[in-house]
Amino acid sequence: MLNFKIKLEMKNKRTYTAAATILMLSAALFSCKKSFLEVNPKGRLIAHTVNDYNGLLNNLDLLNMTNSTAQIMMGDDVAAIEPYYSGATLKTQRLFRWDALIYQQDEDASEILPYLSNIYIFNKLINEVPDATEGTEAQKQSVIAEARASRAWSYFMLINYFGKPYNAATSATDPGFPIVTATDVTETGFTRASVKEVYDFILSDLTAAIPNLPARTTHRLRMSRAAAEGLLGKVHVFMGNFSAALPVLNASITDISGSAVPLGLYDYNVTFATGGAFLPVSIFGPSQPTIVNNQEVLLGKQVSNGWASYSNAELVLAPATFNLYNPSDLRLNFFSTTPYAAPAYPAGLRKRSGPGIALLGIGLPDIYLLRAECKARLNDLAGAVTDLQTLRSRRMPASVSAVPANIAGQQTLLIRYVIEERRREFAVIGNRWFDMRRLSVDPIFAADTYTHTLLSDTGTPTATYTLSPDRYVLRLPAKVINQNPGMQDNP
Amino acid sequence: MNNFTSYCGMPFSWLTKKNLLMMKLTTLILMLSLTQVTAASFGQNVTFSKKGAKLAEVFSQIEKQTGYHVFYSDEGLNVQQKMNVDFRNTSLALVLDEVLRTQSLEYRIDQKNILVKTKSLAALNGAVISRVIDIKGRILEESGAPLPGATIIARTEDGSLARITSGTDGRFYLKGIDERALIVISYIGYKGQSMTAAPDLGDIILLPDAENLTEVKVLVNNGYQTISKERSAGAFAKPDMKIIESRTGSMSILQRLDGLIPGLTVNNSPSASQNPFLVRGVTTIGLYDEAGQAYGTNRNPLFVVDGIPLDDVSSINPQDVADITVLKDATAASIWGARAANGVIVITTKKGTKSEKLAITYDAFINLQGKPNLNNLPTLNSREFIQAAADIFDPVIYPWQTVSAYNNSGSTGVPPHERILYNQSRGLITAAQARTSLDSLGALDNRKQISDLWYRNAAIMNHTLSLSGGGNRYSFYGSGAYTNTMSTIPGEKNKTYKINLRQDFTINKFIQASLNSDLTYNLTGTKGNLNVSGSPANRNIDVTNGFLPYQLFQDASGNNLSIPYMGYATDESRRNFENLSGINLDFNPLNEIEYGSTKGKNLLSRNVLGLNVKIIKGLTFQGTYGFIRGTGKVETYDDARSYGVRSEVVQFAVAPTTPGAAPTFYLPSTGGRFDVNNTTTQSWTLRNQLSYDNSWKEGLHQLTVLAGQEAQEQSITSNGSLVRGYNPDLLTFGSVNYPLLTGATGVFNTIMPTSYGYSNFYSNDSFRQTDVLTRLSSFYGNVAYTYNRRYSVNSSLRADKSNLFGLDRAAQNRPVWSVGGKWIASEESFLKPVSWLSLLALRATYGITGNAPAPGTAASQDILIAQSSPFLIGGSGLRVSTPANRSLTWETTKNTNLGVDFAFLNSRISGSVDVYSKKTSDLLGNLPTNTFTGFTSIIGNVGDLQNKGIELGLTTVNIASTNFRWTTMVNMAYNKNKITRLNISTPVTTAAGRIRQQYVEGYSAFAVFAYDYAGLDQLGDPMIRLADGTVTKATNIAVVNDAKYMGTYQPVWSGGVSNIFSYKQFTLSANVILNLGHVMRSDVNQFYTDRLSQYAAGDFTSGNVHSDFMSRWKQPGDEANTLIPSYVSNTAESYSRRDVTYYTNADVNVVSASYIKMRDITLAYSLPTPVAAKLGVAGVTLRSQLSNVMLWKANKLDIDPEFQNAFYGIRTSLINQGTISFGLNVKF
Repeated sequence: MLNFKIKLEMKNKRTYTAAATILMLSAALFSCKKSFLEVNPKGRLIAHTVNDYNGLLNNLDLLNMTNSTAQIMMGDDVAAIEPYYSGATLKTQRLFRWDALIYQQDEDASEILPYLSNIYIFNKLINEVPDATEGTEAQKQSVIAEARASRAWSYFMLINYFGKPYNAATSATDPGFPIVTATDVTETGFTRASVKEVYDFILSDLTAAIPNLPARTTHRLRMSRAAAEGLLGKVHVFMGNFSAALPVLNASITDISGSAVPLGLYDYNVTFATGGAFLPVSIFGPSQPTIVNNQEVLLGKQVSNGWASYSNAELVLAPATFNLYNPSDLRLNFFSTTPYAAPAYPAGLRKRSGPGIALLGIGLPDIYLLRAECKARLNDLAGAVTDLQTLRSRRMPASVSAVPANIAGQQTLLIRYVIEERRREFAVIGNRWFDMRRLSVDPIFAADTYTHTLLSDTGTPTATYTLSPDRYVLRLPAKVINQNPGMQDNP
Repeated sequence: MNNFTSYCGMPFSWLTKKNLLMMKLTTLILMLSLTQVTAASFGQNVTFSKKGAKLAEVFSQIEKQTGYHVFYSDEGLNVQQKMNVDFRNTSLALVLDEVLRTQSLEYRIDQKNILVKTKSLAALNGAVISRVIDIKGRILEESGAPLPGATIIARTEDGSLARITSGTDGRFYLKGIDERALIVISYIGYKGQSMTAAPDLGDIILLPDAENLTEVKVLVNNGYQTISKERSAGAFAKPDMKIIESRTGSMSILQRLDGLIPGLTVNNSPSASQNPFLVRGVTTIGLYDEAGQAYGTNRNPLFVVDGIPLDDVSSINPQDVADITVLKDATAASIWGARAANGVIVITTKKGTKSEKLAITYDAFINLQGKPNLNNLPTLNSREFIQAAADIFDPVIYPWQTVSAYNNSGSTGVPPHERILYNQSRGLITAAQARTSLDSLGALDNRKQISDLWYRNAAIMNHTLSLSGGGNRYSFYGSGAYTNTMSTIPGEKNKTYKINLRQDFTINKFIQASLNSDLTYNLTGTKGNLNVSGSPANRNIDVTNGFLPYQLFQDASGNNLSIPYMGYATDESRRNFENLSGINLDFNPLNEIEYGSTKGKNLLSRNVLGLNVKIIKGLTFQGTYGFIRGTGKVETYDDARSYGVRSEVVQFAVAPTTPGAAPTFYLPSTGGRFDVNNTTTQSWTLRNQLSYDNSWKEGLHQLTVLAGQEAQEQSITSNGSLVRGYNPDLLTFGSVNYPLLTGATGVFNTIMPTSYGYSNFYSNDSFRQTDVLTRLSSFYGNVAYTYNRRYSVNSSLRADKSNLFGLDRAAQNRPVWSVGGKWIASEESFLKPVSWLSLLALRATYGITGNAPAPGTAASQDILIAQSSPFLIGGSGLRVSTPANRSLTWETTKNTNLGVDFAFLNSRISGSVDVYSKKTSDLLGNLPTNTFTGFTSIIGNVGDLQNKGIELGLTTVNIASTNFRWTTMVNMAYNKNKITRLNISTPVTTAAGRIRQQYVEGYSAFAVFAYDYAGLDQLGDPMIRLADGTVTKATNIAVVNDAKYMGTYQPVWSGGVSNIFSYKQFTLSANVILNLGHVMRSDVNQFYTDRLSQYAAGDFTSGNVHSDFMSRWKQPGDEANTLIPSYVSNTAESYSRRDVTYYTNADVNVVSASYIKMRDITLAYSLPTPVAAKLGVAGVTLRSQLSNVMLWKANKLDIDPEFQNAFYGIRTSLINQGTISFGLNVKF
């Protein structure tokens, strides 16, 4: 009897403990439901909302085209000088000599990487924003339009590095650059689209984007309608289609006036006058506003220009380009007769001393000069002169700013003068290379040849390099060719 | 048959409480008390009155009232015999005398046991003639399985002892034992038993100790369960805990494992700082940041303390550790799933025993480490330095204007010896004046001052007081510890206070609970800062012989000397800056360190609740609930007098435009710089498991099944802020215009610009915050089955899922598993007759372990992070930090292990040998991608590696006599590691690139490559021999195959030999560790061009050069006598003409890193028990220890590989070598 009672008690206890255990177990399991693992760590984000995607456009990676500087060394506005040239990087020397081989066996092309990593972001936006949450349809369209126009800019850069200059006759067969619209890092086996396909892709992106872009420019790092129109005009100019370029350049200049941030040309007569904004001119060059504060910048894309700052001394302004300046041209303030903290260059040579960053995006001087060129090409010579004057009057004293009358009246001379103005305005910042490319298929300039001169440390020429037609195009890096078997390289 | 066995043979549930109590005797008590006590000395009294009381009843009353247990043999004793008793408060002795007198019975009291037996004939005759018998018996587990290794002690009345352990079949034989002896059987984790001697004690069943919630059954504890060693096929190892306890050279429990675990390599070299503890080689490579530091995967073993993973085990007081198990193969470790690829180290802390009287132990030690040996750094002495400086002085290449100009915050002043040389070259002083000044500098030597003023004798001191005890339902172990770590740097403070309490509760027969509560409070502090760029994270007060050798810190009368050239500017610039800013820019190092401080406070609380519920026979529910929380605070203050604060104010000051006006200060010009950083770490673990443990047919089948579920969360949050212009008394601070100062050009035309012409901050440093959360949800199971005590199979399975951000579920779904088998061959009948063979067992296991990438390193979706910049709208934006890789998976390691356990000659020689292979695939790394995807590489699975090795653990009892015992333990491990596939993002094409690589396909991890050195040419330029035999000095010519593989810098052979000698009260233990077969770069002169004495402001560890510089090539013909290249002052010439790394990275400068070190040698003396008793304590042990004595090293350059960065060839000062410790252990 006693035993039985104890047993019963024990049995009850067991039941009790078993029940308790099951309760605890089930409570514990419940706590481990699936949402337990669905936590988003702080400081990191996977984009879901339109605002998240919009944040991706507010992105320094879209501003800095790291080391995409090949054009600076290839323009005919530079000469190289010893002893600095011998100490320059291999890539600098190769580009200066217009060598066929630019990139080392394992080297990634800095003229490719920043653009493609940006294109990844633009493709991500174009593909994912339609399904984004928390945003109006108009906001979505605006973000997509910005991504498309920006993608167009990136492709415009790539095709001008790696595709032949646009030639309507051959562009359909000239190898261009692969068109990537997906975001998949594991994808392999890309093929080069033709130059025409790439330009068509650029044009379709821009024309689709422009209506949905913000009419007002609100920030210099963001693609606005004025910027896209300016870019579209430039693309047309590079395709030799001046009549298509002019209306969009006009639209761009109209839209610039509605900007929410100050946009306009600096008057160097003011900024270099006593107390002027660009003073003092030190060994670091003139004081320059940063790209987001620079009134002449419509779309900020930039790259460090070591040849226009204290870092690199091997490239100087080519004497032929220097000779294009009037001595009182205030743009000469951006040149120095000495490298940083070193004795002066021989023979009065000078290097660019600022700004230390080169604008790759869209600037107002470019738009005015492009429009001047279009007007000149379309035989609106007075209009072209007016646009030229708009810029020149802000770059030098009024006494020397007028376009010489003998030139102002002759179309071809005026077109050449516009190009010379471009050389003066953009010396040693890389724009010249892209002009050299497009002009190589232009009837007026087709006969021009280009050379680079290497100067000794006393300033005497020791070597001359001549640009061959094949070298208007950079070869693809060996690494890229190896990664994509069968891909055709440039000659 | 006797009574005990018949009781014990009954099923557990039929045992009454009384019987259980009768059988209870803790080992500890027996161990501690060797003295016999007669009944007369007991004061316990008994009150019992009954007519016709049975003897059994009387005994029962005695037990009830006194707590003593009565043991008796039923031979010749009739407990049913009735008697009349009437005791009123009668002493126990009298009662026993009275009751037993008439019965021809005698009794004896041993501890709390009353042993009753019939009077022997001799005793009846009044003479003591003891009968000697042989005793046999068998020890079994509750399940009926034999329990090998249990201790059987026979204790006779005269106090002499006989001791033996049970064999693998649980059986034991004791020969020639006094028949009146008390037989005491004990085994850790089991309740002890005692009984009077008998020829055949039959089957004795030991029951698990009820307090042990984690069921520390025998030996193998994998953190989830413990299983008897015999039944586990896994490869594991355990250190000798006595050596661990007495190793006082370090308070790190892990450091104390050095040389004691076969297969655990402890590498203290600076180049192994990321993987000081490797179990069976490295299984992961991870990603590399710019500084060459690996991240992205964990390469350390998993540390488990009391069943809960703990990242940092430094808070564990080694004195509190009861047991350590190192799990090495898949069967041992795979239950830890995705984190076990690097092995698991399971640490169990001490706990109290039930029914144990209060035991108090005091342990203290001091380890005297002395000062670092700075003289092992080979640098020039003053005279040599001055000579060298004069020899290579080149004012043409390095004109005074350039040298003395202020560039930016990277520049420094011109040191005295150079100023003299420039003064001479500028015509300010004559050659003779210069000579005199230089000679006087050459006569100065600051090494004594460096040692005296910048260092002190280091020491570690620890006091631990522990208490343990227990009653029927409650037991505890508690300890309080104080550790004072005195570093070599004066003013540094590091004190740790610790309280640890483990409590065990028996709630009822079915429910038990335990609670570990552990509180650690750590206080640290350092004085100010010599690093003038002084970010809070980058402070130091290091001064070494690498500094200019003539520069004194105090003058003859003990005044601290100013050394302003160690600031940012030369005297000329400095005076100008001081005039413009009105702020003094002097720099006085000994004063400087008084101008600031860093103080840290860390509190760590570790709590583990355990729950153990018996459901039905064999089935148990176990719950483990851990909560760990740590908070840390670091306050860094530099007051307004410090150079860092003064110079920063001047950097952000603009000179007045009108002379005499006040400068414009963009930073507060009064007050100090105060930084506070708070870190909170919190983790919890919730584990529920069911375990089933049973056996059938008298142990023919033994089955243990475990299934559980676990959830874990770990979060690390830190935030900090920095203010300037801080007043520590009023707690006020100044305001700073961060938008301006962090702008691209900040403030233009500052007095002392940080950049070219302007000053700015890289970022707004006023506030920072990080927050990392990791969650893990796991299911696991484990089966162990043993048939006929000979054949065991083990298997385990685990699935982990984590919140690893953005990772596809599919990519995570990689369950890990293992299977293993074991055969105890020595149990087979055909091997039984082999008398010299005590044990032979064969083991084989196979399984998978894993390693998951750290959160945020890789994901299946694009991970965006925020970026801040004044260029962006609203000052911040987003960027893609990690592009999606949808094919990412965990690293997987396939483990194969074959092992043999053996014991010969009655276990005088025992040990095990293991052979293993670990193949890791899907190594995480930078995977090259097609350029057109937008990325050159992504984080992905890039390669495979494998480890193969063999391990030996051997213990021999060389001499075991009554007074002298000599035991030797040998651990040896060989590991061969090879990267079998590596798909690196940037293929390496040059020899220089190859030499920079540590991981190369086809070679061991941690590979060291070098040039095939071919000596110097006639200009003193280094030449190399290319693979095709060409000897050249041309730069950039060597391709990958021209670099020679020299070996790995991770030890290939590692191990240790321990010898323990004990003679009476003395114990001498000597532990030798060895690391063999690896290589390292020796430190060589790196200075072959450029200006001498280039150093950063406030850096007192550079400025001097390697002493090899004196032996460099100086003139044609020297190439026959030296391998050391010439000095060429023109850097452009040097770089274009030659490549000095042909020498510095040459094969001649790669040497063997093998060494053998006496890690420690300890002499301990225990007071004889009677002496201790007179002092009123249970035991006193005194010990002294000598640590870290280099016995042999392979290199001839006097390099201690533990202080050499093997990959970069950087030597550091020796510290903590040849140190002495004294320790005291008192048990009350």
